[in-house]
This record gives sequence, structure tokens and C-alpha cells, in this order.
Amino acid sequence: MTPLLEQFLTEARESVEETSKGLLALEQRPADAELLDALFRRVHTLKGNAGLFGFQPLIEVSHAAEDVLDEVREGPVALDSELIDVLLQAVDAAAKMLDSIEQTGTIDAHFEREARAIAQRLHRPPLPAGTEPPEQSSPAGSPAPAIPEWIQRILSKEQDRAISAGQPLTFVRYTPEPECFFKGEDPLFTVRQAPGLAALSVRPREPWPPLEAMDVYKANLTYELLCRASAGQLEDHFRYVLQQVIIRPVPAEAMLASSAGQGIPSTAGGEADPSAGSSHLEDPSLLNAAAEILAAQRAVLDLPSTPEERPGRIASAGKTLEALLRATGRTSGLASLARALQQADAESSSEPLKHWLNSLQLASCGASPPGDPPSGMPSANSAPSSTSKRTQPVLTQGPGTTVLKVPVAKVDRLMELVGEMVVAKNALPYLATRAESEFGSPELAREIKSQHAVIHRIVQEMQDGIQRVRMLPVGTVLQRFPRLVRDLSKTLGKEVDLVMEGEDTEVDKHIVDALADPLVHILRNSLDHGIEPPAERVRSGKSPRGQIRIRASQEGDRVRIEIEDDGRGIDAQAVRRKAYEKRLISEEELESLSEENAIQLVFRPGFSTSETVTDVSGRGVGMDVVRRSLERVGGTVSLSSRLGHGTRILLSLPLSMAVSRVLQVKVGGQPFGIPLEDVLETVRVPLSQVHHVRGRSVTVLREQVIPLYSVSELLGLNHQDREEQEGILILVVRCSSNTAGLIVDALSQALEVIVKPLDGPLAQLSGYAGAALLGDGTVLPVLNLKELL
Amino acid sequence: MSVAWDSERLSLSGHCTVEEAETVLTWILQHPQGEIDLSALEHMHMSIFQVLLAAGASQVRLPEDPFWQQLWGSIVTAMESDDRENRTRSG
Repeated sequence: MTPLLEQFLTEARESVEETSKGLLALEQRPADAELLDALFRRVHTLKGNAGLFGFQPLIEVSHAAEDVLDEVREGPVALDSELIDVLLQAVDAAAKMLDSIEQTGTIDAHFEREARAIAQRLHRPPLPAGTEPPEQSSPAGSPAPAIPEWIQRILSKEQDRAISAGQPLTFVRYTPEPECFFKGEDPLFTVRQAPGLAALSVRPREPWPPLEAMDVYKANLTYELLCRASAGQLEDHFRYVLQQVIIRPVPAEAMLASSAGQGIPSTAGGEADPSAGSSHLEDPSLLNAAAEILAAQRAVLDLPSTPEERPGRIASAGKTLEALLRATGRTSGLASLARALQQADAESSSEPLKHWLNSLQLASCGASPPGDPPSGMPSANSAPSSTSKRTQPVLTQGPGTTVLKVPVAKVDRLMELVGEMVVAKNALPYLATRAESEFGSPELAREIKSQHAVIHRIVQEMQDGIQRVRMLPVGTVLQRFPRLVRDLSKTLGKEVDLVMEGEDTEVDKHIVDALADPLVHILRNSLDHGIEPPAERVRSGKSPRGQIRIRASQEGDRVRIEIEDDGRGIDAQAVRRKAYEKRLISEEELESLSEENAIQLVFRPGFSTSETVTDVSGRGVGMDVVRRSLERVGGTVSLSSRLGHGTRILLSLPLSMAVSRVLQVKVGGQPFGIPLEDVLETVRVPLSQVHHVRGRSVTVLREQVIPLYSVSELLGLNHQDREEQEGILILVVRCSSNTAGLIVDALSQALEVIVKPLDGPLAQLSGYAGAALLGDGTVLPVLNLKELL
Repeated sequence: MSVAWDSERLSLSGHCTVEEAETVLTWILQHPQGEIDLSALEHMHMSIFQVLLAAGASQVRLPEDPFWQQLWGSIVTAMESDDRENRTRSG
């Protein structure tokens, strides 16, 4: 890649990112002329730069976007959210083109079509809201919905059950968008939770790249589901991703037709997989042959015939057509063909079959425009198959970030090495002493000492720097939310502003990772169940736009994240009832539970399951999972809500996993570390205030009885506790909601250390959380109070 | 710990999230013939499932949940027909 092209890519990526941000901002403040101007300039520059290199599709897209923005600026076109949608799509397409340029030096040919489509959409007014995209509506006059063959195969089994139970059957095809993982979606989970899931099939959307080049963050599967549920239920289930699914009821007649077609023996290559369907007709000679056969059947049916001849002709045309369908992999047409044949038989007329032939071009080709000649039928399918067979450029990188991805283990290794360096460094003062006393060279000793000071400073900075490597701003996880909130609120028909504060609060990477899933879940809850639809908000005297506020801040050695919405709040009464129905609480609790406590029931495992779709949570993964995944990294979550006014969720997490704060104490001349979070206070108690109750020492501190434990006794050290005149030194600690006093000899200091678990034979020792290496090379055993007491 | 491995076997258990997909991919790249043990798995994120699928992992111990059995059944067929398709095309 030439330096010039590299520079172009860097700038173009920045333009694309800024444009995307600008569009989202402009949606909030459509009247902001300055913003619009800036946006226009960005797009204009992008177009000009792309022109320098002759990247035609990119020029086309940016040119169209520039035109539209200009029209918006001049006034004739209003910037509504539909237009923003299309513009965002253009931005996404531009980003993909840049990926392609980065990988291959040029824009992949298939983008030309995409660019043209986007340019057309930009020039034309977007579809009015509520209009279904063409691929979702079933083609007019279609004799049967496009239900894949594998479903046809199992339909007869499902049919009896469905008919006897009076249950609807629905087919769903779900193709998650490639970037969906970044929105925190797990399509597999959504599929798994689909109501009435009876059968499913999965296949790659595009051929897999070589495993070494696989991008694990790109979704590449299409799911097909058969569900014993109504289309409405499924629409509700897939409501967050409605654009990515096709939902079709399986009509009762299709079930019957499929069983009628069962007796017909399969002729050529009957077991075609749905994914294989498109590949059969790529050979042009085959295409022509298929067209000829179709024309011949039509000719046969058009011939004048006597009533005696007719059944034979119909049957033979029927057999030929059936074989043709199977040979071309269009097995989805079999059911409608069987139906047409039945009807033709019953009426002793070739009309139903001719009608079926006519509908073939319209129906089975789907995308082909009406009025195509019969020979157009095979060609209709070759276009999509050519895109799906396109070999995907292999290396997909994040959009132009110059961030180095390093496994955490490598950073940890560096941390260890710094620790060893500290120990090595501490040998220098000893060497200096020897230089002076044994070799009689005070100058050399001085030199060594001054070198020691230099190395000491560098090591300190290294240690600090490596700790920082692990720290990331919370913004890295928050940045995906504006788009998520925008897309989701649109899907749900709500108006929501997302306000974020404190994005640059830094926390350990591990914590950032652990935050993502819970936050997505909480946001979804707020959007779906918290924020009311605009009309309802106006009725209850609120502004039609809801607000969700995410506020991150540092509080001591913890990070605090507050998610607050001004929605309808949680109905404690409803929660109470639900919990009772689910047998999570007893009847007395149902009566006695305070409102505050009732709300906390949403954290109980089993409270939120997929049945409670319209209640407090909704996607099968409940607040209990949120709580569990936070607790795994030492976090907590609390929730408060005022009915009608909103809900506030407070997350609190440790800033860092690697570094913990311990208080260094001395017992029997040996240093020990005690986790600082367990320590409540330190006091010196006169001996006279130590009482003995049933052979146990206790003391009374602010009218609270505190049991005393001698650390040396607990650890089995052979040492008498120091009992000085001024009394004994006590560390008041908290241990699983109890308070206890630990008797120690001396306190030294609070330290930030990296606690390593003990290994080898030492791992058997109980009462230790691990050990830390101190700056001077001392090993500091860190106590585990829960085990010890 | 929801992902554990040695040189012969990768075990996924409990809920495996998108953060673990890269680990799984790395392990499979290093151990193409290794065994994948899902018997204690409750759920894996689609990204992990994709990795197993793309790798064509064959030595897999499935969880008892019929969902996984059915899902796995449907992939194996899909892959076989892919193979068939490839063979027809190259032949």
C-alpha cells in the first residue's frame, strides 16, 4: 500500500466515523445549521478524496449523500429519521468499502450494485413508514409461501399435531446482521427462546473463510425455524430484529398439499438442501434446457384435447414439471404443483395447471419483475447466488483503529517480570555496601547507589504503566449504545434520548468486558418496559421523548455506573404477584413484602423467563443473570424505582482486578496482608476492657460486642501476643456480615499489590488468599478472612 | 471458568459469552483434531457456535438438552450437502 493510500484510508475512516456521529447528533438537533454544514463538508471531502483514487462506488455513495445534504440545507428536503436511516446505511456501506480497499487495494466489484442501490434510495424519497420491504411481502398471486424443503419434509409429522391441537405453525427465517454482536445480541439465544420452537436448521450466510482468517465478531449464519406459535407471537419475540427476519404462517392448505405430494416418488436429486437450491441452475445450458421444458409443457397443455386424452396429458405434464422442480432445486414449488394437479384432475381441465405455469415466473422467482418471458425464470435466481458464492476477502479488521490487541496473559507476564526486576534491583544496595567494605572503593559504592536510584524510578514507572495498559475508559463499552438505543427505540416506536456522562472513567479491561452484557440487558429493559410510547407519556404529563441516562464515575477504588430512565417504573404489585405465581415467595410474603423489597424480586433466579415477555424483563435472560455476572467480578447491583417516575439501577464494580489494596500488619515479627475492603477500623483496647466469655475473648466497642481472635493462634504461629501497657492492637474486620476483632502486633501501611494464588504444596494451606511480592522482595502472605474465621 | 482446556480437549460449561469466542478459535487452530466437550454447557454465544461450525469440529460431545442435539443435527446435514455441492461443482 502506498503512503498516499494509507493516508487516504486514515482520513476517510475518520470522515466516516464523524459522519456517523454527526448524523446521530443531527437527528437530535435537526435545526443545527452548523452541524449540517460540518457534515456536508465531511462528505464533500470524502467524495473529493475518493475521486483522487477513482474509487467509483465510494464516489457514487458520497456524491448522493452530498446531494441530499445539500437539498436539506437548501430546504426542499426535510431531514427525518427515515432519511437518516438511509444516510447511515450509506455510511455503513462506505465503511465496508474502506475495509475492502484496505485489504485488496481496491473496492470489491459487488459494491457497485450496492452503491447504486443506496444512491437511488437517497435520490428517491424513502419508502413511507410501514411499507414492507419487497422481500418481506409475498409475491402477488403466489400459490405457496416460500417454505424450504426441509420443512416440507417434516410438515406431515407436525401437521397432525398442529391440527389436533388447533395450533398455528409459523416459519421464520432469521439472518442476523453481520455486526449484531457489537450490539450485544446473541441471535442463537433469541432463536433458542423462540416460542414453540419445533424444528430448526442453520447454515452459513456466506462461505466460511479459512479458519485462520475468521472474524469471530462477524455473524454469518441464517437460521430457519418452524414454530408452533402464531406469527404475532413470533413478531413479538423477534421485535428487536424485525428487519432481519421473515415470518410466515404455514397455512393449513400447505400442510395438506405437502402430504398429498408425499406419495409421488422423487425423481432427480430429490434431497436438495435449501442452501444448495441456488447453485443448480448456474450452467447456462441447463438454464436453456429448463426453459425449453417449461415451454414444451405449456404447448402440450395448450393443444386442443378430447376429455379422454386430458387426464393423461395433465398427469404427464405434472410429472415432468415435478421432475423439473426437483432437478432445479425448487422443491418449495412442489406443494403448489400438487395442489394444481389435484384441482386439474377434479375439474378435468388443464386450466389450473396452466395457471400454475403462469404463476411460476411470478412466484418461484420472487425477485423477477412481472411480465418476464418464461425463459427468465432460471435467470432470476442466478443473481443472488453469485453474491453468496463470492469469495469473501479474508482479513476483516476493526475500522482503522491503530490499537494493538494484546492478550491479557502477555500483559500479566510483563507485570510479573517487573516484579522480578524489583527484587533484582534490590540487590544493588547490598553490592554497594560490599564495594565499600570489601573492596574499599567508596566512589564505586556511590556510583552503584545513584544507578540504583535511577533504576528504581524506572521500575516504578514501568509498574504504573503496565497497570495502565489494562485500564480502559468505560466509554469503550458505552460507545456502542447510541446506535443500539436509536435502532431499538425506532423498532419499538418510542422516542428516547440517551445521555452519557463520565465515559472517560478508567477501569480494568476485565471489568469493562464484564460490564457489556449486563448494560445491554439493562438498556433493553429500560427501552422495552421502562420508557412508555410517546402517546402514553403525554397522557401522564411527561414530555413525549423519554430519557435514559448512563453516568459513570469513580468512587474510591470502585467505579459506579448509574442507569436511570424516566419511564413508567416497576409496578411492585405486579412483581409481587408474578413472584407468587412462580412460587418464589410464600403467601405471607405476598402480603407483607414492602414495595422496596418486592422490586428486588426481579433479581431472583427464575423470576424472569421467556413467559414474562411483556412484564419487567423480557428476553429469557433475567436480572438474576445481570446480577450473577457482575458478582463474578466483585460487583454489586441495586435497583430502585418509583412507579410512574422511572427506574434507577446502580452498578458498583472494583476499578481493577489485578491490583488489590491490602493493609500490611505484623504478627510475630512476620508481615501479613489483610484485604483493605474487609477492614472497618483499627483500635487499641486497654487490657482491662478485654473480657472473657466462655473461654473466648471479647471486647465492647460502641456498645457492640466484638469477638476477638488472635492472628498468631489462628495461623498456628508459635508466638505470644504482645500485650503492652497501652493495651492490645485490634483490627476490626467485617467477615460475611459479621464483625470481628483481630489481634495483631503492629500495623505498617496500606499497599497496592498484585495478589497471586499460592501454588504447589502451599496451595493446600487454608486461610490464605495468596501472596504478593513487595517492592523490597519480601513475600507478603495475604489472609483470607472468610476461611480463617 | 466456563472455558477450560488441555492439549486434547476443550471444555465449555455454563454460559459462554462472546468474549470467549477468540479463545475457542485459538485453541481449535492449535488443536485441529482436538475434542470439544460441551456436556456441561448451558448456552454458548452464537459467535462460539460459529467457530465450531466453521472449523467443522467433528469430535464433539453434545449437551443433553435436545436443542443442541437438534441444532447440531441440522448443521451436520447442511455441511454434508455443502460438501456434495462442492464435489459436484469441482467434478
